[in-house]
Amino acid sequence: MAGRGRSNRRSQNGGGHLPPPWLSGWFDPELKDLFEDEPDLYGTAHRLRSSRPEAQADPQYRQRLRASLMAEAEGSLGRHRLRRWFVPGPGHLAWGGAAAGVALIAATALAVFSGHVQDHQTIMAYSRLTAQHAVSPNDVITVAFNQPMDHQAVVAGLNIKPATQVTTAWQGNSLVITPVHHLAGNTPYTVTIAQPDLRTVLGSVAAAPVEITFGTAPTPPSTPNTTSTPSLNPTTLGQAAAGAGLLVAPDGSVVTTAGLTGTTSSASPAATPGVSPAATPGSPPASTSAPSPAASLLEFPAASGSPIVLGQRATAAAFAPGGGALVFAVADSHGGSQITVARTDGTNPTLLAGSATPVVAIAWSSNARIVYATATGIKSVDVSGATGPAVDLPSGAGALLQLSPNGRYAYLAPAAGTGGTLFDVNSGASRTLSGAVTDVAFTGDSKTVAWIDRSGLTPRLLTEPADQDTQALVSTINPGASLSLVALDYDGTEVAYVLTPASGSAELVVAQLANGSPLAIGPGITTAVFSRHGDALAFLQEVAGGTAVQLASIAGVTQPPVGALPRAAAATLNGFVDAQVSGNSSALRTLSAPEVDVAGQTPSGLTRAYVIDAVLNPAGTVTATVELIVDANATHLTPRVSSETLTLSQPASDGPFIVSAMNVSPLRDQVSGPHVLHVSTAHSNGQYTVQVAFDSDLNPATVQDAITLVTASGASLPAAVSYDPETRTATLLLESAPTGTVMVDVATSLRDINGQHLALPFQGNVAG
Amino acid sequence: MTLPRAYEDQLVERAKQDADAFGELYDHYFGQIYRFVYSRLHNQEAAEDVTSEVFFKALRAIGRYRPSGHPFSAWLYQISVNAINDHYRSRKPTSSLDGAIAVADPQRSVADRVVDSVEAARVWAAIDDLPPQQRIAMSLKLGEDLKLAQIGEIMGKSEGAIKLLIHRGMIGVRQRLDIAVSVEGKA
Repeated sequence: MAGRGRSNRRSQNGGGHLPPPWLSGWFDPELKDLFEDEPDLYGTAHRLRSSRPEAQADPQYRQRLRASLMAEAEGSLGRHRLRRWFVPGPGHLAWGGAAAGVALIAATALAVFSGHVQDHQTIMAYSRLTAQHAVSPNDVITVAFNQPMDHQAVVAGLNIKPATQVTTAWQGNSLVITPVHHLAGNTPYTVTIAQPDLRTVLGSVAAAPVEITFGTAPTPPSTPNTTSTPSLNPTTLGQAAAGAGLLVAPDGSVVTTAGLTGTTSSASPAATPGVSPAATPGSPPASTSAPSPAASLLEFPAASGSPIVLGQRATAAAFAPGGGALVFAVADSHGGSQITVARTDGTNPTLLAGSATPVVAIAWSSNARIVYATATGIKSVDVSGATGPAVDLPSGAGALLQLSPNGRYAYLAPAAGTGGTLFDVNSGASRTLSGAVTDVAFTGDSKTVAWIDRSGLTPRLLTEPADQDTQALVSTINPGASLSLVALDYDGTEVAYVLTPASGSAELVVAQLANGSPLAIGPGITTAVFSRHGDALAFLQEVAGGTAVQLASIAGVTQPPVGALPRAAAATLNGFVDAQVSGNSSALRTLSAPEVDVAGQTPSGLTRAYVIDAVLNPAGTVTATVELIVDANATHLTPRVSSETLTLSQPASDGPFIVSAMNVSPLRDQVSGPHVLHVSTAHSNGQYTVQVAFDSDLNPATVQDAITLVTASGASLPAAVSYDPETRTATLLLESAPTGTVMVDVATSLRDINGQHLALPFQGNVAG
Repeated sequence: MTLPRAYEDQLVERAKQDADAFGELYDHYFGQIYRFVYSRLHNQEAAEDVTSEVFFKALRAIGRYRPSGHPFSAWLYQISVNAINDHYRSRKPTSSLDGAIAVADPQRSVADRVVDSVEAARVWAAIDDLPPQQRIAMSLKLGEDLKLAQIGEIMGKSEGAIKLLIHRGMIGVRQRLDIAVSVEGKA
């Protein structure tokens, strides 16, 4: 058998029965020459060549690496040596794909008449937001020029649609545009700088305007107001020792670095459940009645069950991004630390490295590499135990306090003075965070950093991209109150902070980072960490006699975004609209009745959509109004919109809702002026509120008279109208819930801060 | 795949003081370098780590780069070869935790693992058992279609020495494939 197999293989690949290699599309004259007298070996070469790995890199990895390289290049080469950086080239195409690149070049490369400029230098401009479709609403807009510009003239020519109040600043030749109230979520933007105002300091003028188009990522729906913000309803998981840290596993399990096992202390709001036997060899045995229990690395499983001891008390711990492993640092008997990697359930612990000084922070830079920090240095080790070179910290900085979750950034306390240092571990670049910095936090994706600035009379919550020195102010619900503790969720959608008013007790606030709208209110706490999806918050709360480990779901995130609709209807509505944008025809067929021509009516090329309103009708059907949007692109420099009306019905009383009718208007260019984003209702404390959110900063004086509630007969309902510029939301307050059909009318007398009117009267459904 | 020489030379000179020019070099050569690194490591995470290292090293050293008459890619491959060797030197028998867990999993039978492997990977994996120098030369020739002279430049050897390495390597692969076929036949 062996001989026959060998013979067969040879006859297939040995060369004699192979077609000539050049007929298969490959021919290497050097190898042909080398193996001219050895056809077997040439056949082997052909076989190897035809089976060579064709690995395709993850495009996101490719883009991330490029961004990191460019960041380091800019830092190491210096600004004065980057004149050509602004010249659009193939490199720029990589940022947004080929189509985006065309738009970027068309939008931001400006040729000028050189006039009397001595070196005949062309004015070039660049913005990394160009043609992006999911820009964070927390982001700032930076326009970089390749030469010194006339600051006043350029700023005078600036225009943003939708109307957005901004502050401007110059960093070298870069104009930094910071929205006063953040950008609106899920909204197409156009930033224009008029051509006549694009002047250099030497007086030459650009031949074309700057036109930057981009869209923002969606944000969760805002809750009506603070008075109806739901309270967190935490569950007590157990107890922790003083100084404990928290982390949430990818599966939602909560882990504390210093959990107390076997306690039934009356100090705890709820009795601590029993503890399972220690899973880790060498870890302290579990006990159910130890009077002075030793703290341990303790997991409270997401699925209900007994807490699990994962290891000894840790000074730092982190889950691998892929969720397959846990690394933790444990203090040794010599004043240093030992770093151990294990499965997420604590089994298979493997000692990776030791540190002569205590490890204060630990992170995973990939699923195979761990970055750990002591107060004075950063090192890395891979899961096989191979250590990387030590990273030198910037001279003059204070102690290292924190690492970002991917180990890319470190926060170092100031050696003296107020501003701490944000240090890029990869590039070695560092910068000072603004103000008297405390309570630094990173998002789970390490892209955003937040901190409390205590340099003013009242503390401020600031945030900025980790790779940009462009901070933005986060609105808090009580700007005069003291602030402490900041936590961010994975992607910068939510923030948690603790407010302590001058009189009153401390209060935990979970809010949208983009606009500060509160999602939930809870008790004052000491440590908090979000779940991976931002739908839960784990925290430590000081209670009489100890520290309780608590977990609470965040209702604002899990509630359907369309008000009081049945959850099944909201799920269908959101799924249907998402499928329209993504072009998922299979999902569209599933979510609609067979007679509805979804494919024929849905405009092609959609980039975003939002549900303006949705009401439950007395007959049990749901009527929804949706805005479908095609962002500006290389061939059409204005966003286009289409209005869609959907009817959802429920064929079976306990079955799913489906879209039973739809009506879609043709795509049209989005007109200037404010637009309604969303209409929502809430009923609490005996009051009925209707909220209308806009994409533009409005002229407050025009709001009250422009927005009214009307019944089906056209009668107006008396309502108090207020406007919150932070959230660009008008609130109408009624003393009681209306009966019958109610609609909200917005008249064209409404104006934005630039004086532009609402283009067409708007009428939205409030109650069916 | 190779840029026109004159344009590439200009681009490399610009990249010494121009981030965007370096970005253009990255855009052009990323795919080649990643593929080469992956072909040697067979692991996405490791390939990403090493590829990152290659380009960061290139960025930090490009000021010292002097054209040698070979394409710029030869220099990048040279850095890659060193980085791959460093990777193998620094790692223990298992290269990643995930990999270790998968390999150590006693629940998977040998038969399952054989079924999992595909023919192409098996054939190409025969190169992995070769001595390091032969392995690199074979990978650059058959994985990257480089000229013998370019491989010599990358490995610091003469063209004749590269021919010898490839000849010996091909014999080694031939023998290993024969052994594999023999085992397969018995099964």
